[in-house]
Amino acid sequence: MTKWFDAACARLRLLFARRTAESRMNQEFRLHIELEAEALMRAKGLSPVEARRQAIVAFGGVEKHKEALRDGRGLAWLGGFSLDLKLAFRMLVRYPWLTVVGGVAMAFGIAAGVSGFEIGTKLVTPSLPLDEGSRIVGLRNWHASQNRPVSTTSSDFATWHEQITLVQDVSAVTTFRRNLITDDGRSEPVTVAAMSASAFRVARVAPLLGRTLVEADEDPGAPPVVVVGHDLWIRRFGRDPGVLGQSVRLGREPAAVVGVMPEGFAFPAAHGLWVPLRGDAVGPVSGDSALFVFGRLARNASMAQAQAELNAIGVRTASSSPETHEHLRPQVVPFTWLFGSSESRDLRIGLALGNAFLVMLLTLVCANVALLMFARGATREGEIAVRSALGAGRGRIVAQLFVEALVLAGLAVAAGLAAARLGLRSLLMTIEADSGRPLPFWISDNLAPTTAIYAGVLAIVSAVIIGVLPALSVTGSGRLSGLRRSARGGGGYRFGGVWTAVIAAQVAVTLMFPATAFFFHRWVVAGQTRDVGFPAGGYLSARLELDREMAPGAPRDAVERAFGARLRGVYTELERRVTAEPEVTSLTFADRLPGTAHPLSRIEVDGEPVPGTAAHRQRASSASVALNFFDVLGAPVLAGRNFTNADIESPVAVVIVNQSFVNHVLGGRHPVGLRVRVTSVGDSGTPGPWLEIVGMVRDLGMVGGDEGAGLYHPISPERAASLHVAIRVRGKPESFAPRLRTVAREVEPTLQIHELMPLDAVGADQWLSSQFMSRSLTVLSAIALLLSLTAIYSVMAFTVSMRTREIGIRVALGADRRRVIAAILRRPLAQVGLGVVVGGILVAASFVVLLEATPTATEAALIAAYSLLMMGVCLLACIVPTRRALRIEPASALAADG
Amino acid sequence: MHGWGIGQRVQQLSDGEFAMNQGSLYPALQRLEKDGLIASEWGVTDNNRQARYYRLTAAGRRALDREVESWKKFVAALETVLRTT
Repeated sequence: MTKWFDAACARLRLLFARRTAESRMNQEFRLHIELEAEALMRAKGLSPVEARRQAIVAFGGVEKHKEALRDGRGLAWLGGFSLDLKLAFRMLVRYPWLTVVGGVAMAFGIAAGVSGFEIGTKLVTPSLPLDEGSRIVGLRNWHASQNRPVSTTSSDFATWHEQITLVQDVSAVTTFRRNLITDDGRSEPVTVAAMSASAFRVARVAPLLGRTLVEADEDPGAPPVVVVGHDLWIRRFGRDPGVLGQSVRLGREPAAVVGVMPEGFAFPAAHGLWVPLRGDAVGPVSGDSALFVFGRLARNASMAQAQAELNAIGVRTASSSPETHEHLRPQVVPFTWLFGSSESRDLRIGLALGNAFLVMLLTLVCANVALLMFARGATREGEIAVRSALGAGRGRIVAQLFVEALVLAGLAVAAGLAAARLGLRSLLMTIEADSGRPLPFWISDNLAPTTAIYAGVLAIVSAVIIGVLPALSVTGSGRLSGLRRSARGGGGYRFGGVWTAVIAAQVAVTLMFPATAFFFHRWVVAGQTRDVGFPAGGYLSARLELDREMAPGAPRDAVERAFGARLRGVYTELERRVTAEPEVTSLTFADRLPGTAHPLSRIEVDGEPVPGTAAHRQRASSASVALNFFDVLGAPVLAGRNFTNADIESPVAVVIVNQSFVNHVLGGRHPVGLRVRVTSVGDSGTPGPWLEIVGMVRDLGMVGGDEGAGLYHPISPERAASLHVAIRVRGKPESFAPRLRTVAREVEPTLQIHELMPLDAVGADQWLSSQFMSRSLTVLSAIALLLSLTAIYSVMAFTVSMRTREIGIRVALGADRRRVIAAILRRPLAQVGLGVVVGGILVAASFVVLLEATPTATEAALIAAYSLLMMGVCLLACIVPTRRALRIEPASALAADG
Repeated sequence: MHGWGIGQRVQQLSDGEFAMNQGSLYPALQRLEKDGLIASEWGVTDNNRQARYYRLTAAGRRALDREVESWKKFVAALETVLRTT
């Protein structure tokens, strides 16, 4: 036992004192040889030089014994490892181009894999960046027969709050939008969270200034208070520490600011302002907006235990109120599931498939890099053969090549992680801008620790593909023949039919990649520059919203009617005041603005023969607009008449159609008097009511219908699903924006103004995600292109340089140089030419099929130029080594190792 | 004794019967040291040169005795076999 211990100690000591041990070893050997030489000089009278030589011979292989001692030092492989590292770095520096290209390619592959994994993690198992965030849970009702979650009511909340013990600080929150009016007169809509005071205890975040909400604030008679979030504090209150105690108004209700929360706090999801949750006054109509219930697991309680307790409560509730709760089963779920984290199995499967695809992509990239490495590694066959003759085992050599690949992979991982993070940030910003809503606070561009581990795994896998597999083949059965081969001089690589196919495929794919990016870009550009038919730059647009006030207990339609009347009154007053402004020419509204996506429906025309042909059912967009819509946009009616007041209340629904509708749906017939209807409303399958066409206007930017066909319904403002206004302004529209807010506030403080921007900027947001995709595709294509070109160049240069001896012999035998070049170049050029032809056909075909267009002259020129570039690269790849070979003396070409 | 000295001694004592490959002495010495049978320390030779001196440890002495015993037994047994055949 002690013997083992002593041995272990000795080993460890030796391990740590390696450098000392090395120099000591050298010293010892040196002394030995000196002593032996001296003894020989004395004994045989030899000269110092001869004595030394004989001493060394007598010693035996010095290096071999040194290696034996090193091996015996225990953990020798670790010592070898540091040597391998040094060699690896040296090798990477020696072939910089390969390092850069291989590194970039692998970084790209790893970034893609990592991004996919991180997105999956964020979607499926996000972690809350709060204290013990995994113990925060949500409570909700699940409908057993409909198999979906249902909204929680305040009675559910009360029941759970009272009865459950394994979940503490059960809180609820509901969201609504109000105008926040500060003392300086500014009025902007904000998202308000009416939240239980205990929710702050659940989050365990202390306020930056003042206090959080407390239970006392929830009493019906308590003074109304509000807690402000960090962003809002900066934007609206200018970081003023004296904000505490300031009085603000939310819509019509006043409230006092009692606290400011620190940066990053957006509990429960993306909220910036909190008021106490009360049953009555400051709050929306109960049943209108969703109530979310959550809490924290008690110490030592698990989700399963809490679920069991909740099940019991659920059973009691179901039996006491069967008419509402018979099918409801309360659930304890992870907190993020309440706010949109997805639990669906389909999503998980989709994500798994997506990740698998990305891993395959990485494998493909690594195979490409392995190809480059192989081409380079094959030229090191001589070195490897010699090394193995010196006594290195096969495992040792493979380990060395593996370390080289691992170093490259390590560099690539660092770059890949950084790139993934940047890409994620860009993606998240795009999603936020596209959807118009901020993302929940637990989704950021931070990478989870599991992702870093995944990146490490990917790096090792890549290193195995790039380093081990080629190494195994190079050090394989052909070791001895490798020496023989390099002695004879190269030419031993037969790249047969398989290689031809591989290279041709590579070239074709390289052609396709940028083409795809190009198509996508073209499509985006075409969509964006669609003409709206009138000078949209001279209009200011906004979306109006009015606070819904609650009337608990009142019947639903009475409430709706009252709200509608109120909205109409507000709009009318707003119209009067705004048009009275000196800068304003006119004002109108619509439920959708020109240049944005309009809903599509299939239309059929009355009086047509029974449809057998698809042409009888075209798709058209629709919009509901004000009576003065066309006048304000400066688009006079071209046929028939404009809308009148009577049309709004008329029993016969009337519409005005646009020019494209007449051309494509009506086939050019005179539209006035014709009747059309929607073939099927929603999913119901029943057709809509008949609509009579009373007029025609020119195209006004209806995006979505076939060729932009569309029709317009006349409505009064309260009927609009979404109330967008367009204001014709003299001068720049942005200059009127603040004035609009002021006027709106004077008309009605609860009138919220959203998306205030010039009309020509309105459609831009829609294209953000497409632009993002287009940009991504371009970057990916550039990388793929770089990789492919380098791979092609490498393989070509390698095959040609392998034939140096052949060139030398031919020249020595008197062949004409030109013919030699032609012979050498024939094969590679044929391969590349095949690839270009195949790729070109694919590109042209996709042009016709996907875009249904023929390429313009510039596009055709671009494609031709690109093909020429590919051929040029290949020519270069072949010519450079060929010229080098031709310049060598034939004799030295024969002598060369290939 | 230092490494070279050991080699010389063995050669002298065996009258040249054991003329070993001198370098292979060192890995063997390292193995013995790892097993704790010998110990080494650095010292100075007569000519003022740095050398590593090896000596037998107590455990090494015991192992040596054991090896000698088993060798003697082996030789005795071999002689018996040869005598009787």
